[in-house]
Amino acid sequence: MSNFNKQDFEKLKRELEKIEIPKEKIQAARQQAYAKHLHSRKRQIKTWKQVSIVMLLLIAFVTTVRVSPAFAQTIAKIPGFAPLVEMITQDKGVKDILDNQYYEELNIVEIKNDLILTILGTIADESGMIIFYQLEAPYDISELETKKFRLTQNDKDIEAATTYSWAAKDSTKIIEEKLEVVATNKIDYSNPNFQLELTFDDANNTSFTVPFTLKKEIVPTKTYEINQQLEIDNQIIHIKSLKISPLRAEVQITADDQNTMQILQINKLKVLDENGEEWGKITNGFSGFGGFRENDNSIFIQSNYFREPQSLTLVIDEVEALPKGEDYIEIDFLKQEILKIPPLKDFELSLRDFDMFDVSYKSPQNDHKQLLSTVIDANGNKFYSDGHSFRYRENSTTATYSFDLKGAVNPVRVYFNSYPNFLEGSAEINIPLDDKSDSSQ
Amino acid sequence: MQNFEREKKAIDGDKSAFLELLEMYEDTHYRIAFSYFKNEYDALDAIQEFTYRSLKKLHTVKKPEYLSTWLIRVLLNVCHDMQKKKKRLELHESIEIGQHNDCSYLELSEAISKLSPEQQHLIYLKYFQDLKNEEIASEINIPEGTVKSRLHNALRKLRYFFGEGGQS
Repeated sequence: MSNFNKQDFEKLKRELEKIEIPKEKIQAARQQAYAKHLHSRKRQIKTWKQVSIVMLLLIAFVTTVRVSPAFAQTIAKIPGFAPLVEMITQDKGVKDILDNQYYEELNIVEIKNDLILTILGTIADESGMIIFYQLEAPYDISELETKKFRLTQNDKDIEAATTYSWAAKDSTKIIEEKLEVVATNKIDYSNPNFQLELTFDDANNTSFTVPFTLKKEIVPTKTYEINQQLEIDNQIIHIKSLKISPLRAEVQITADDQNTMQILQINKLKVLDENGEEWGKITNGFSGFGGFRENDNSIFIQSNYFREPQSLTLVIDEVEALPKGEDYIEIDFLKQEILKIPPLKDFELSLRDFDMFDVSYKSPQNDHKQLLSTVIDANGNKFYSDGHSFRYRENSTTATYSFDLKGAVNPVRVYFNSYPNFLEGSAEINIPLDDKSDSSQ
Repeated sequence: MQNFEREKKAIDGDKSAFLELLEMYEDTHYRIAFSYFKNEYDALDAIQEFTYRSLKKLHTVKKPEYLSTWLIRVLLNVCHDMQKKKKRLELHESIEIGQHNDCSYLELSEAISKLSPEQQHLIYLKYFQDLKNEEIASEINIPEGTVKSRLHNALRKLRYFFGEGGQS
């Protein structure tokens, strides 16, 4: 019998150290795994008809909340506390909503097949609705999926984009979550009766149908017609209107057709009051409708609905843009050929598979922005990215993008959704507060 | 005293902190996976699956100081599961692994790979991370006496495999 001791282990250790480490391949494996991970925890989103929706998901989760004791007391009284607290830390409009008692408590309990669903309450306005609920079961429901969510009024679907479901957490028998509805057409509350339908992926496919009636008065959206244009770096941007509802403010903003640059994103868009207090973009959740390549484009900012500002200024800064015609990549995935790549400094692309590629580029900060999303195939049909992952190191980002290209005809064009190339300068305009017209939309 | 700042951030949900940690430990992880499968292809597969699984279950780690040993346990479980799957595949389809590496030096590691994941975990902590029985006990939360007896069992089993010269 071989006698083995610490020396054998030492020898093995030395031998192991001789194994070559394929650094790049390990990094690629890690990125693939991360992309898969991100994809698996995405909330389910359903959009109404053809409206494209912009959504941001915060990757870093909030674990601690610092609020004043008085405020903590106010929110502690409200059930459905967990998802609300998360929202408060990220959106000051939601804090105002609670301060102004605009949250409506419902507490409707329904029991079916061992599942207890409690509709805790809502925040509702003409721009949408957030429904807070709790689900309880005698077994672990951390990975239970929500199969379907419908919100109807007079037996018709509310025209909206919705999100539901939750990302798997620790094993738990109680989930507190929210259903988010962003209306693509102003919600009419003249009939305050709604019906909620929620179906889960349990053994019985339990489906709840819960009618509810809103008793609180729904405040009207404040609409400011602006119709002004501004110029940054010789590019014209049109600001059509600002609509402020309790849940969000919506800036309707488009780029001029004659521009030489394709505007991609506006990184800094905010409203300031006379004291310099700021309301910025939505950092987690629905952040807008449309896009600068589409006819309509709306960017959401946090709401100051419950304030009475003397003046409001809209500030636009850090506008991302690429020269028109140089704002896409053309690829033949079938032949594994890159046909066109814009002449961007330090930008590199390599194909990885028939629906996947890696890019690397210089970026001033680690902001996890999705660079590419929409694909137009040779027949003009639209496809989308179905996952991406990032790695950031020393002012440079490496990312892997994968696409859902079932049925796409090669070659395809992949359009930039964002790129850290900025127009020079910023602009601001005063919003004429007198022009407020409560009824128009 | 080690500072577990990054581990703490990772457990609290900071994914880039976690990815940085994985990169820091990638040499050790890859070597464990390689010594298990003895080829790059499977080792990389294991690293990928291990990354995915650890991202998914990261929130279950209770204390930052447990993270590095927890990772090794996850990795060993992944290797173990893959090995089981592969064995089934090889039996059914008699696939021949085309890669022949010079693995003579890996005899001991081959013997190690025949231990249960739990026993392997102990061996890696004891002999590759050079932890004392006392430290292992506090890291995986079992009494020191149990560490000692489990290690003893693992070594006895190793000696047996090693003595038989790999009985496969």
